Amino acid sequence: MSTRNYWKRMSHQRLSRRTLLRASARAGVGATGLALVGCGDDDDDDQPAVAQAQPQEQQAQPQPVQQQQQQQQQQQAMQQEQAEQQAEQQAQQVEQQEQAEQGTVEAIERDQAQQDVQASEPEIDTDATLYVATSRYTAGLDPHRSGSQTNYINSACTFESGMSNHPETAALEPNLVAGIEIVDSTNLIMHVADNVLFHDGSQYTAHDLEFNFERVSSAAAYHDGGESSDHPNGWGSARQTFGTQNFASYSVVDDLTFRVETPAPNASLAGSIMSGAVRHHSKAFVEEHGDGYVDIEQAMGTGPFVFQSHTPDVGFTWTRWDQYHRGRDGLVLPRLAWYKDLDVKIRPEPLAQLAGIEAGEVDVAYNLPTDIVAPYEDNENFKILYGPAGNPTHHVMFNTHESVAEVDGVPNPFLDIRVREAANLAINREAIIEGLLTGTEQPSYGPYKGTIGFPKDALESRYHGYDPERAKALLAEAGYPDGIDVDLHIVTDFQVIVPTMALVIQEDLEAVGIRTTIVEYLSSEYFAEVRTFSKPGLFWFFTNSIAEPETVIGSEINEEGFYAVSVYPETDIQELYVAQNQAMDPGDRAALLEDFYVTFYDNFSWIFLTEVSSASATGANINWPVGSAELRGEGSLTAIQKLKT
Amino acid sequence: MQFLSLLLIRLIQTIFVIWVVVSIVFVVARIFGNPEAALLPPFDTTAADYERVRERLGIDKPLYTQYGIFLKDAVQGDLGYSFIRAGSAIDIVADKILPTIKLTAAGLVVAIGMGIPLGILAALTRGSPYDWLARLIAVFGQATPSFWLGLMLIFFLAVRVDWFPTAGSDGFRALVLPAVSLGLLSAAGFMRLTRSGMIDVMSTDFIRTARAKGLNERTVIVRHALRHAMIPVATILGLELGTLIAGSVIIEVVFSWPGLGRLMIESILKDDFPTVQAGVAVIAFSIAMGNLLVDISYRFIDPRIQAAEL
Repeated sequence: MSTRNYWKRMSHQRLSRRTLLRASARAGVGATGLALVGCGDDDDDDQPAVAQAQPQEQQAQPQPVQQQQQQQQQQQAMQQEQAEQQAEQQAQQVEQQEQAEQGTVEAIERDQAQQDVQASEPEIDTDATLYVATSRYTAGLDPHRSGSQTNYINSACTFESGMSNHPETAALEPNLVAGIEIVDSTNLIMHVADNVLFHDGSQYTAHDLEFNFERVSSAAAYHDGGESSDHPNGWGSARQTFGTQNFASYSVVDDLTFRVETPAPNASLAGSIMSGAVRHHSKAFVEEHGDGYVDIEQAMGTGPFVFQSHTPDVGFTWTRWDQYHRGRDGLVLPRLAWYKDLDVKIRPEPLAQLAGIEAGEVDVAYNLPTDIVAPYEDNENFKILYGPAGNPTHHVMFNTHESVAEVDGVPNPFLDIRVREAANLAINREAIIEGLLTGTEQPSYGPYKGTIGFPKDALESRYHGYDPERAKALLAEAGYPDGIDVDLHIVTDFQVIVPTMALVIQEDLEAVGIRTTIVEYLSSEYFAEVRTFSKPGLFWFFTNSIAEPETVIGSEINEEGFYAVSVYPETDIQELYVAQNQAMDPGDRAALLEDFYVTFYDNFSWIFLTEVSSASATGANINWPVGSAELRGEGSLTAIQKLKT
Repeated sequence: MQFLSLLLIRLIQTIFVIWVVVSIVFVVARIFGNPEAALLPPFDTTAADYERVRERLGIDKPLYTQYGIFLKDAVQGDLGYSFIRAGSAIDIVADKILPTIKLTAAGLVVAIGMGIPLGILAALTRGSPYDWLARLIAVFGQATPSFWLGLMLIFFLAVRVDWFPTAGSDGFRALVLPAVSLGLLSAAGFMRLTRSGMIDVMSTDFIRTARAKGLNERTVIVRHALRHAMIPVATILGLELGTLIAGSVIIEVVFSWPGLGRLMIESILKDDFPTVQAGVAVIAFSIAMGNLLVDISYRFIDPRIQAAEL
């Protein structure tokens, strides 16, 4: 029951005649008492009636006056007691009368009161079944399948990660692991929560923690890299290590303590290995049933829902895990679900999901293209919610790699900071947000604002706004008065907005003299192409919403990163990147991250574009509150409240 | 004996067709596809991750080596393991055949059930408002994209009046809208063919003779005229089978129908080569078999047609 509902219900509660009589009698007695007290000494005006029973030795007034006052007080007390007794007798009489009347009267009143409450503010239905439609489907129940093979909804419902992230600050919050103790720069102690139960009732321990780290990194002998698995495909066909490759050594100290040593300071390690990418199995369950069973037949974890059934390409069902270790308070997710059962329907087509909501077959659909849901904003059967997309900010990378230091015999123009600044000043982000996007987005400053250490305020104060005249002047100053011609490489099937947004960017750039030719790729070829760093020009790219920033800055800004197309060895950017990852103290790391982000932004290192939203649609009887940085999706299903209708 | 030889020849032809089709898919998919990129997300992935995945999937080898391995396994009935789903590609495809057969058969029932009666009606009332109406329905069916029709049916018959579910595969009611969406295009073809066939047949001498013998009009139409008019319809039936299976791909997505079409779309998008190859092989086999059955059915529709003429 939400607090809001509670107060609302209280305000609508109807008072019976008995209650009213009691209250009025007491009010009358109180008023008489106050009047009598008012006849006494002024010094006592502020003393309430109960204070008149103070011990005599504490009274400092002269004896005669004191006696007089005591008499008055005794009289008052007696009168008050009599009045109270009378009121109580009256109330009892009324009560007896009421009881003597038909019992149905009260029942009718109660029902009416309940109906009034429901009419004004529906209650949350904690016995409800929530119907969710999703297009994100991959067969397989094992959360250790990687990347696009991961069955995200099963991973988020049945399983959990080591720690959660605060949906506003991205700070690590206790979950399976209650806390991480930094012993020194290369040693961490993880304290496992002592109140977490698997769905079979067994306790989650440090042995399970160890097992899952070993399993994702194929480190354990009993899996032999997945080759000896009973899984029909050979279980580990596309796993990633998610940071566990950085363990120098590790051991279980006791049932609730796990120790990790790293070869060098690694401030991002905790965020990486505790992230949602590594979900936790029961060691005993996997060992007993085998890899094939836990991927195909039965999912069993500690998550907020107990797996019930799965029909490939059709759907899933779960039931709330009532012994879930986290309650319903606060913002951190997941938490004890508000509804009892969860029924997920696989519907690949967004319009079919929306039709399901309108027909009352579905309560919630998420990760929808914003342009598809826009026509439903005024439909009373829907609630449309916008929030960050899975790739929440977009940018264009200048290829400044050493392999393209010269293009057609002339220096790469993007090595000149004035050209990069001109490109940034050419973009009318506000117009894009208002005209092309939902109007709720903000300009991008690089990585997503919901990641650890992102200095939102510091960056917002340095915003490089739209100034095409200055952009033209900068280009001329840099030696390109007639502008430049470059390719703009984009991926067409990764985020639906990209091809359209690219046309707008192309127009903005052309207006200041940067003429682009758009080169389109499918994602299967695009990311491989980006990694070659060989083609000059501009490359469209994204960030992700993982709270630990290493995945983005390590791959896109770090000079050794997989997608580090824009590199600037003449700046401090790389040194700051290395330093922040060695700063084990969170405060020190935050300070270094701020320097890092600000330096990167002031260097006009990318064309910083905008945030990108995705949409969710729900029925009118659904509430889905989440934190500002939280994505509405699999990870936040436990925040949904289904109201009684 | 002659019939069995013919059957054998047609089976060999079918195997050849499947081999050619699957080989084309094998080469094209590997030229344009990049499954490790589809399997691993762009972030969090190291070069070692990519290499390990390529090695495990067997796509690190030269194309001709991969093809040799594929052929060797394929003749043993092994079309490889899915890159994404748990299990062999042929098993995964086999699991999805039944829902697709169900949908295709329902589409065929709609196509025949609407097309042939409307065609007969139009032919027998040529030039009348019924004829115009039937032809209008045919034009509408041929001009309407099936996915759009599907969405419209969902909007009006599922959302507005709640006669059918908006999607899914539970029960008969869930089958109606996808079957109509799928079958309407073919129904238009059947209607036009039946109409023209009936018009031609109704003016032939043997129909005049049948009437002169005193047979009632119903017998003349059903036993004599329709049987002749059905020969080109039966021919087109084999082709329409391919159209229906191809059409089911998009209809299965629109109606969330868990069949082969959806599986193929997902597998193509994720560069799951083995599943795509297995799916294409099964579809090619189904269409070839459908056509063979149609050829065989000629003998029963028109006994003048002998096996040697097939």
